[in-house]
Amino acid sequence: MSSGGNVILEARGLTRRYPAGRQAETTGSVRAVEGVSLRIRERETLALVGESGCGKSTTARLLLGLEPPSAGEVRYRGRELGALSAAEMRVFRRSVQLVFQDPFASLNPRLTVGSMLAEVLAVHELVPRAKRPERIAELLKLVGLDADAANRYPHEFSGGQRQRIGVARALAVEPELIVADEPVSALDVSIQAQVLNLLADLQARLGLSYLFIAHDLAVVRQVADRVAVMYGGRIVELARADELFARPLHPYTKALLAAVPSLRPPEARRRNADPSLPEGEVVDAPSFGCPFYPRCPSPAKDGECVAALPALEERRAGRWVRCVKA
Amino acid sequence: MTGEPLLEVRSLRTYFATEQGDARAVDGVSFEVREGETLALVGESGCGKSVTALSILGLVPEPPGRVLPGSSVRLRGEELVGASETRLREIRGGEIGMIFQEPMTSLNPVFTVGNQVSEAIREHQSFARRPGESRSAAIRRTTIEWLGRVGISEPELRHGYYPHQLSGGMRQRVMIAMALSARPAVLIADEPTTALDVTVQAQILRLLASLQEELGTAILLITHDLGVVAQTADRVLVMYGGQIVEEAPVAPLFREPRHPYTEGLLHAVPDLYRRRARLAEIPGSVPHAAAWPEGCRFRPRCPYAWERCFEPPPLVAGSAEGPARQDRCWLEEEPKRRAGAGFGVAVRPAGSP
Repeated sequence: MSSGGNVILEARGLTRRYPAGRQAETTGSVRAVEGVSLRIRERETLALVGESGCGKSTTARLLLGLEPPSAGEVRYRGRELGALSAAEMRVFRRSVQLVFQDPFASLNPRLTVGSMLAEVLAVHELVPRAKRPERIAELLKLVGLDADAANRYPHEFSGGQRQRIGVARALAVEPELIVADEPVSALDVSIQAQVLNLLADLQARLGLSYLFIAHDLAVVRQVADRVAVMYGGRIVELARADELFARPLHPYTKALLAAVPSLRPPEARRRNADPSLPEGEVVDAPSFGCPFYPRCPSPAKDGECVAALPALEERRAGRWVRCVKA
Repeated sequence: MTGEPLLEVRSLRTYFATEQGDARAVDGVSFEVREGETLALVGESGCGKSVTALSILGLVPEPPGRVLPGSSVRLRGEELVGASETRLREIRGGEIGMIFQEPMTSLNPVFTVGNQVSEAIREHQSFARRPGESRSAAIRRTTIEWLGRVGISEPELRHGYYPHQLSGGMRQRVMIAMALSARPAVLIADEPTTALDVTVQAQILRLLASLQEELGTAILLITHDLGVVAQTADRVLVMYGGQIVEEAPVAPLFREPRHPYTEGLLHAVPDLYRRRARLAEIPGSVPHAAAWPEGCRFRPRCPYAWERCFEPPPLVAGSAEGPARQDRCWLEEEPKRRAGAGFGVAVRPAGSP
């Protein structure tokens, strides 16, 4: 469902700048986020895609309120985060949950899964103590684990099971929105499919929304209702998933799609000579003009791309692109 | 593309001592790499594909690992199992080149990249002096030529860069220059693009393909990425449980996988060009290598499995397609059992009874 639903979380002109330090100089990484605006609605999956350093994870941290924006604002149910009372902030913290690439990297290895979930339930005072074992069993079942998983420790689980536990932890507090940062990128294909199906089932059953951050476009194709493509800290294209994959407008989106190796072997071994493939690698976005200009295979002839930053324009309802030529 | 076998691996067994007993990481693997071809070795974590590569190169850490007697790796007929460390050292980076997933760990951080490429060129004598040119000048010139050839801009300048001053893609280009400057007969590439962004991956794969065409190098490509396999391989070996479960030319493999594991993988992987109603799931996970299931190792996860699967199936040629295709499954003898089962069939949603 790409439109119509109420907006849960909104970014307006979200910006995060870091002082130019030694790291930026040597790695040339682009960590800042510039003027990102997007909305996540009820029951939808919005995917945020892009390559290393494009700003997708920073955007997620800003949306979760884990980092303050340098400019712009985050609105939860129409209210700016900074304006929320302490009680409202607690509701926000509960309603928007994070699932990591490896949930156990941040977990106490000495706690059983059951104790970990009980702790989450206790902190948020959601379930009376006596009812907690029942709720824990229910959560584990929801994510496709046996009830006896509650008595085991993190290291006793495989990667796919750990991700199920990460999801159970997020679900324990009955969130509206789950921000999933590369939730399947560390998993093998067969396990990845299990977790992606689980996320789809949970969305259907519980009416969840997802902000799904990923670099794998095939995975995004499978899960997303809408897709925002980021480059150099900015959104360069935002569209319904079926439209974006069928007819990408921005040259960077085209490049990303062209770069994904297809599952259909070519007739004869061919040289990959797709003209939309960009040369070079992600570099610091130039301080003016289009962030993708230095790598763009088809820039405008008249210098329009460097003259000024193209605006993110809505070409049709829900179809946004930041390119003077697209 | 289908030249003579350069590298022949026969009955390779590499085990590791663990607390649970011997982990049979590679357990009876046979294949050959032919002149100029790209052979992909594909499988998920723990299937034995990387240990196969280490075994070929004589790089299995012993202990806890050991290559079992009866294993054979022949390079143009020369046996490498049990060869002297001196000879293996000559071969590694010489007749057999190597590139790995993370070039940062293979490059020495305290030497410039030019220095390291030069060292490879000096060691394997892969330079020619022009009249009046000194040895060191010839090595330097060859190094700069190679840096340019792998797509590093301003190679004279980058010659003096340290690895940390280059991006991941550029470091992988340096590794490719080091590996290919020795003009190896075979390049073993273990997940060479896995750590890279997708647009950079496309560049590196394109570079490898064009250098392969120019130099005629055979490539043994080890990867988990089925898209990379589809776009680069001539032939494919699918590994599961330390064994090859299917061998086929690339197009038939993707068109009509024969082994249930291959079928499962191809139904489980999301497709950029087609959103599936639901991905197929291969239930469970890969067992530990010290405890492969009895009989067919894929049996506990296989939707077709029946009693016969408690006997280990042999790797046999598929009936119609001749010796180019082989798979390790009793379905080859009882094909009727394919009907009505498999990974295309709907699966129960997680969490429901």
